[in-house]
Amino acid sequence: MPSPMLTFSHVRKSFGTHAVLKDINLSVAAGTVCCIIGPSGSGKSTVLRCINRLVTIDAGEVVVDGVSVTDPAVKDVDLRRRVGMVFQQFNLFPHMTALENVSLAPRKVRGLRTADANALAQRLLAKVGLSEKAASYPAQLSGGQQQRVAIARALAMEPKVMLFDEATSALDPEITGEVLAVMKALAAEHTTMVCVTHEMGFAREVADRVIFMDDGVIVEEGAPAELFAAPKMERTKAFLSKVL
Amino acid sequence: MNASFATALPSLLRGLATTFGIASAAMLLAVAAGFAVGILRSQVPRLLDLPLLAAIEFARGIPLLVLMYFLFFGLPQLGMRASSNGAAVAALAIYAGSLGSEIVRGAIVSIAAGQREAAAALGLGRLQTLFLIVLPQALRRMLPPFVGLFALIVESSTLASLIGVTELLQSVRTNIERDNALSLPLYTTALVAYFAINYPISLASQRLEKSLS
Amino acid sequence: MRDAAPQLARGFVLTLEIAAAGTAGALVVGALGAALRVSQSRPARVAATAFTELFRNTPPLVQIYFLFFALPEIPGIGPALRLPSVVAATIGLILHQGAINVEILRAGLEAVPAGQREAASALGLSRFDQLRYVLVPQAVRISLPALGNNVISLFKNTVLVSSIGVLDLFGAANDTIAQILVSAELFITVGIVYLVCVGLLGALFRALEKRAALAR
Repeated sequence: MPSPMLTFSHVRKSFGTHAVLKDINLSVAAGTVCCIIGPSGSGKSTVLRCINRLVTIDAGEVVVDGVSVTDPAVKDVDLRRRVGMVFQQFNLFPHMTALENVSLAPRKVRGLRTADANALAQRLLAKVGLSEKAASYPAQLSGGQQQRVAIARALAMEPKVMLFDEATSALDPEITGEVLAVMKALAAEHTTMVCVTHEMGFAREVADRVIFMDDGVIVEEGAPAELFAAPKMERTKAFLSKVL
Repeated sequence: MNASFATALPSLLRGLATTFGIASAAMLLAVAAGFAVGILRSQVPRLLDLPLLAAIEFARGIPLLVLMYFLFFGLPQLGMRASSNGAAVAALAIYAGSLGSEIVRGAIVSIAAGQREAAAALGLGRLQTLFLIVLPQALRRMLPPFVGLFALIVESSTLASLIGVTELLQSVRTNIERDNALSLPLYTTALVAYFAINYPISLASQRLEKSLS
Repeated sequence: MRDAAPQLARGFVLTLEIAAAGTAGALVVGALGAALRVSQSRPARVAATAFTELFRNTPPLVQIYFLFFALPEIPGIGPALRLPSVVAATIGLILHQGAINVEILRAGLEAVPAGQREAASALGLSRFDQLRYVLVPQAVRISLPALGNNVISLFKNTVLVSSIGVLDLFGAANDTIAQILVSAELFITVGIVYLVCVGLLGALFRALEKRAALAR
């Protein structure tokens, strides 16, 4: 059995006196999709941010692609080259075109020459279906288009793991489809993905494992078919009955 | 040297009192003018607003010192008299009043349209809405910038020294004229004094801003 | 009044030169100061804050007098600090308006949405690159109205240089009055010149703001 791409061991995190993660243990195999579901405030987004050190954990260990997040010798940039992140609010850089948004990190972090970075950016924009929008500014794009550019931007670092933090929650319902389609395509290519999501349909269709979190702990996890059809824990049943 | 500083002290304190005197007078006038013009501008249609806008752009665009000189030196030529204190206060009041009217108008306009809609739906008239609903909310938003405006007036009061008003800076200069050795200590004292006045005011304005948002 | 024209014209040119030098200097001071204000190093932050608060909260006229009259009186190094009046006046303006710029840019940086820094961090950009490519460009766009106001303030404050004898437009006007005594007309003319310049500066900045908004 190849070692997992991502593991959490006894991870704890508090913000002030509020314990956000109480004892998180999970593992994600390479090439698989793991969806995290749960009510707001359950700590789902914090889990993602622990992986690329946007949040530093208080206790426990996180290992991604063989690299320990808690090891002080590991620099932030080493982690962030391996882990790509897509945010709920897109967070595109408004003063740069789509192309510039995607090519910035390859140029400045990976050290690519401008021509190579631009070529890479064009390929990725084509991959998410937005090659004609390369010269457009975020303000000129719809929410769904902006989020697809954000996905291309994260992919430009050629990460081993892609993190999606409620990537479709800020989109109008009719537009979520175009972003979910891109995410499904990535999954089909065996990208390792961890998605915090409210889209149960997506989780059911695409996830290899689903994790249900509530109040800082993992309540239940399993294959989507089982978890959605026959949840074992009461809290899981209660949550699913409200959202399904 | 210390003896000279001690003899300078009474005149410096008198100068400080004058500074506060003209700053306060100008502030009162500026607040009054600011409210009058600001409220008026927020209510009148575009056409009537234009002359008011022109007056404000004039008061904001002309250097304060030019205005002071005009009021003090230039007016007597056109037949009117002006004392130096009077000209200073008038110029400060005109300048600060224009800024004040922008503060008032900005605060009124920032009260969401929804408030006015709700008031109208309840049957309140325009003036009732303004005085019962909009102004009470706008007043809180005006406080931080008005506090900052007073600091600006104190800072600008130093220009009055150039038309002969014996405020703090002029007292400093007169004492230095008598004894040049006082130059460094007195100018340093002046910097410290103005800082001691304006820094707390500036902090207060920032704190007010934070607590109101 | 006709006779005064050449001297006034020379004064106007000097006003423009001082305003240009002052604006450029104040921008540099503002940018450096703002960078130090948000630096990781505590001494840098404290020093920048002290500078900003001191020069922002004291009257520019007092600062100019201090630089011109008080500096040379400092025991020891005083004589080396005897500055020509134009230099002292311009430095005074640069320090005062520069300190105001520091505060404007710092507030501008704070106003950039937090998600921008998150996204830039997540991409692995170094702190310097984050500031340079993502945060500062947006901070400047946000600060443009306030920066523009400060440029206009500086332009109007150039009249203060006349207090230490510099013959800018205002100084030249006063000099003329001492000679020819036509004050009311003269002040009105001079006043109109300043108003027109301020109006042009205002229009320039509004156009800049429009252009910056499009790019967002």
